Amino acid sequence: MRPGNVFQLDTAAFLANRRGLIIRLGFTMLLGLPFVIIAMPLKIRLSGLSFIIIFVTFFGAAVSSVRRKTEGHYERLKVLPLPLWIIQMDMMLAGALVDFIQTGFLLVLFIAFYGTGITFGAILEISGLFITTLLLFNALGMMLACLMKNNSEVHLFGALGAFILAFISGLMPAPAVIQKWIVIIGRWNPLTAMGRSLMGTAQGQMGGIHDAGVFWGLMTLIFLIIVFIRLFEGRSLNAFS
Amino acid sequence: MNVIEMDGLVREYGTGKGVRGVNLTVHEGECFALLGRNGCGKSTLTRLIMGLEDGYSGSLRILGYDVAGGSREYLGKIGCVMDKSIHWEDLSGWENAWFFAKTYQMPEDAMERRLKELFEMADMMERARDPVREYSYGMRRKLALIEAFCHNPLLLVMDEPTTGVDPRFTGRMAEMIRNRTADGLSTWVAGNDPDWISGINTRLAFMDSGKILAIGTEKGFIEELSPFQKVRVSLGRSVKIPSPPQGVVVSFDQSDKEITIIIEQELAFIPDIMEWIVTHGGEVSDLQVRGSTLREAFLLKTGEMLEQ
Repeated sequence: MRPGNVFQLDTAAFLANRRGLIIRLGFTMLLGLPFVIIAMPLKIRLSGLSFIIIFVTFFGAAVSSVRRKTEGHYERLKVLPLPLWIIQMDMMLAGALVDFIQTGFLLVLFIAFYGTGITFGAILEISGLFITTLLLFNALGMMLACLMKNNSEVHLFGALGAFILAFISGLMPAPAVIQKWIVIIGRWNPLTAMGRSLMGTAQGQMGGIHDAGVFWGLMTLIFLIIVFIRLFEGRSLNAFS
Repeated sequence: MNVIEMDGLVREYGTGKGVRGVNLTVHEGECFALLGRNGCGKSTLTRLIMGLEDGYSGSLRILGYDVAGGSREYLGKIGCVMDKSIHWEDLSGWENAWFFAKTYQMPEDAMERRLKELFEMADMMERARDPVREYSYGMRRKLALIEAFCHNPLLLVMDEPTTGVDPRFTGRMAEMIRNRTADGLSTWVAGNDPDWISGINTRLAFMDSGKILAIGTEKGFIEELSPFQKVRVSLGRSVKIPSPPQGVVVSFDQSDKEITIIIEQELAFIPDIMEWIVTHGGEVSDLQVRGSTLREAFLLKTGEMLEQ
């Protein structure tokens, strides 16, 4: 593959590193599969999967962004005639795409194992919320990386940030006084909303297409269109080696 | 037109290092070299040109664009060789170079031709499809140079370009830079390799402690700063020769059978020096006399600064 933009470059680099690819996918499976196949209450199952998504997206984006910064990749891109927002967007999209491959399989397995009465509307809603979660948490991880200077800092604050995200996403027990704030934040948190939708799917309570389904379906569509454009932009048939 | 204009440029770090008030102009079609010791501020100045430094004061215009105003438009017209060679290690050298050429919006058929030409010039065509992680340090450096040269930029900005690169390639690179100058393209080189810079026909400046010490030509610097001759004497056998009395002899260093003498430009004194050596039991087997070079000018100039 001959990369023509930062998205293609990052994606190609990810796919070219076979060992890294196997380790990342294997690690996610190792952590996530027990929450799909081992018998446990639904809430714990979903909390486990949600925590893996936070870890892979937010923590992963923060660590890889700091690595880019310390190894000089970001500066190497900054001397190119590209708007900085395009560089950031491409990095975020590439990160989200990689995370999609890493964690999407777990969600598919969950729905395949426990989904009852799956509807098209439910799939639209869950996929839209999933993609929004990936983008949002990648962006948050990249923002954290802007403030961090080196690997040790990002590991420390990344772990702390992941813990806070898990807390405000309602994945851990919280005192009643904080609980009402978590509920308020949860209305704007796509991960919490996705957890609710997955719970509904497992309990057979997800109906047909409704407003939320259409909205999140549109988000999925927009994401796919942007990814498609960035993936094929500047390519021609002879651009593949 | 001036391709680089710096006026009162200051970029200091907390330690007091960096760039401390630089006024400099590089003209269109000119090759300009900045020489200085490690840590003198060359890289900071070069990074300012590349748009990688924030928090500076003074004025900086590149190709007419105001860098201080946040302009990034000029980046499409320059090529950058940073002090470190940064690549995407799992991709091949060709894929890395392709990405850079593509970003500079080169037409694909021209990219193919140009990259092939540059990879062949760097003796890297056979390794072009190998992942960069399998490249040596020198090959990574060459790849960084290919990426900067590929679109034949109006202004080529290079920081220590010859570090770790074989002499065959540095010779070719010098020729390419001379050709660029002949074609009216501009080049900025920061480094501490006066021997290589001497071969690229350039105006140059010496820098130390964040300031420009002097700007001029190689010929001018040699005449001004280094009016000395170096005499190298090889002895047939190892004999300790005492230093001659001070006069035209500036320095006299002996290492086993080799004696290096620096004299002021009065070659008439060489027979006297030979006589001194022979009188003290030395058998002269070889004698070489060499005029001053940019290297000596560099050492002398930065040495002067140290003493001050």
